[in-house]
This record gives sequence, structure tokens and C-alpha cells, in this order.
Amino acid sequence: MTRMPSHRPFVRLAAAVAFVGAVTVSGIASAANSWGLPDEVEARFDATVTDVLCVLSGDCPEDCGAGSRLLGLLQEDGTLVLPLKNAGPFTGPTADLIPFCNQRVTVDGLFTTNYGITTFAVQFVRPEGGKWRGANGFVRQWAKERGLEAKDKKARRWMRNDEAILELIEEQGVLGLKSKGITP
Amino acid sequence: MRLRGLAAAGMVAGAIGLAAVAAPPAQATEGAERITVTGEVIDSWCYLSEIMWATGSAHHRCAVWCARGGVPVGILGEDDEVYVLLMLENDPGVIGNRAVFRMQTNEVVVTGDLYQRDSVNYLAVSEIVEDHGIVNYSHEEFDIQPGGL
Repeated sequence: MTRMPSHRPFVRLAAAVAFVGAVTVSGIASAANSWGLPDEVEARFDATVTDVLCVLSGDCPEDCGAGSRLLGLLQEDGTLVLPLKNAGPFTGPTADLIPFCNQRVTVDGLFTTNYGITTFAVQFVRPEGGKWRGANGFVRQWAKERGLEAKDKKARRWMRNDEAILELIEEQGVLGLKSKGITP
Repeated sequence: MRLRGLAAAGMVAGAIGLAAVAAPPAQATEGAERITVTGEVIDSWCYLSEIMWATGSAHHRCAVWCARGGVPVGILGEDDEVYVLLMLENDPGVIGNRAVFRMQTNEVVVTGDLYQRDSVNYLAVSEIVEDHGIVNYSHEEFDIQPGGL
């Protein structure tokens, strides 16, 4: 059976439009900063931080994978929001959300819909009964592991100082084509 | 921006001759569909947000940065669908996983279980059938994204 994608973009677009309409957004105004994303919608909503694989397949470690698994934001009505980004440079939201595995949080940020896919960028997160925090957990954690402050220049440019990245780029080259003799 | 993104998808599909192929006999977990996908390993955020040219060698380093930084990785299939990586070779530890960010930008053929939920395709890859390395030389047109060296 060959997959037949020809009509799917329209179905997916309609589904995405319906999805955004279905997302339960709190009545409180979002504090999110616009990034000019495709079909961007500023939003603040409540959800439970969840392990996506758990929701989809029933494989549910108690710690949501301790930061190694894909995390989602599950709303009370069953809508599963996929957060792809946090507020940091080149970083995702796992470090911001994993402390609240299986707990309710309020998140503030941006929905974006493109190619029929709706995802979310987390800019701020607040645990139930707690305080708001900027979603820059990866950089904070990266800096802490190296005895730095998150505001340190080396931490703010973590991607140019990360040992694993430097090792891989040395091996593969900036273009990933070093083994073929192609470098900038 | 959307036109550029669509053009990107078309260029990638055309340039590397992607082909999504038939699903083998279903052995998927409940609620999933077993499929085979051929496509380019991508940074899902840069591609979906269109904040820069986000496929091929031009974007390789940025894709590595983002995967290391915990941005979910995807596969851009022949059908222009984005499949967000949920597992790699049955390992659910896909966030910040070196095996994952080493594969960035490569053209791969994978089999796995597809879950569709709230507009997103999630793919639990059980096997990397083929890894062709980087075949999309987008740097020839787009230099290095973002912002040169």
C-alpha cells in the first residue's frame, strides 16, 4: 500500500484550524512576545506536562523519561499540544517542563501553524500555585553544569561552546560534508 | 515565508528523489500504523517556523545545535509531511541523544509506528533501514544558515 498524500494537506489544514479552535486558552491575556511566526497566536493555557509516548502508546515511566523523552502539554479536554521550542537560543522546552512531569502548569507562549501542523513555543511556565519563570531552562542547566551563570557570554552562546557539538562539527564539518572533502 | 517554505519542501523532494513506500504487514502497536518513510532528518522547529532556510547542508550545523539543545527532531518525508521523532531504534530517549543529532540532515529510510494526534505525526522508529548521509547540498544556494560561519 502506497501512502496517498494528495488530499491530506487539505485535511491536515482543516484539522489544524479545528485544533487551534479547540485549544483551551485561559481568559487571562498572554504575556508572550511575538516572533512573527506563521499563523502565530499568543496564548496562555493550563495543561499537564506529559510524556508523549505515554499518551500515545501507554508506555509510562513515572519520571516521564527524566528529560530524555518527548514531552507534551495535555489539556483537560484531551488535546495534546506539542511544545517544540522554549525562549532560549536553539533550545527546546524539555528542561523547563520536566521538573513538572505529570503536574499541572500554566504556560504562556506562541502557537504557530504551518503545513497544517500546530505546535507551541513556551516562553514562560508557572507550576500550579507557583511563580512564573522564563522558559530558558536548557541554558540555565548548561551553565550550572559548567559552573557558570546563565547570563555568562559563554552560556548565552552555549551552542558555540558545547563540547559535544564542537566534537561533532570537528568530525563532520559545518556543512556535514567533511568526509566528502566539502568544507566552507 | 510560506512560499519559500513550500519551495523548500519541493526542492528537497525533487533534489533527493524521496520516496515514501508501502507499509509492510502491520505489526504496529495498538493505535499506530506501521509505515516506512524515506526523507531528510530535520530540525522540526526551524522547518515549521520558517525562520531560516532549514534543510540540507546549509542548515546542518544549526540542526545539530537544535538537536543538542533539545528541540525535537523530525523527518521530512517525500509526501512533504513532517514526522516528529518519538523513538529511534526503539529507544524513547530522543531528546539530546547523540545518535539523533549525529543523523541530522541525512537522508534516511526508516520503519516505525506512526501515531497521529492533534495535527502532528509522531513516528516511533524501530529500524533505520538505510542511511544515505547528506545528499541535499543546499549550501550551494543558501550558504550557511543562520548567518554564515
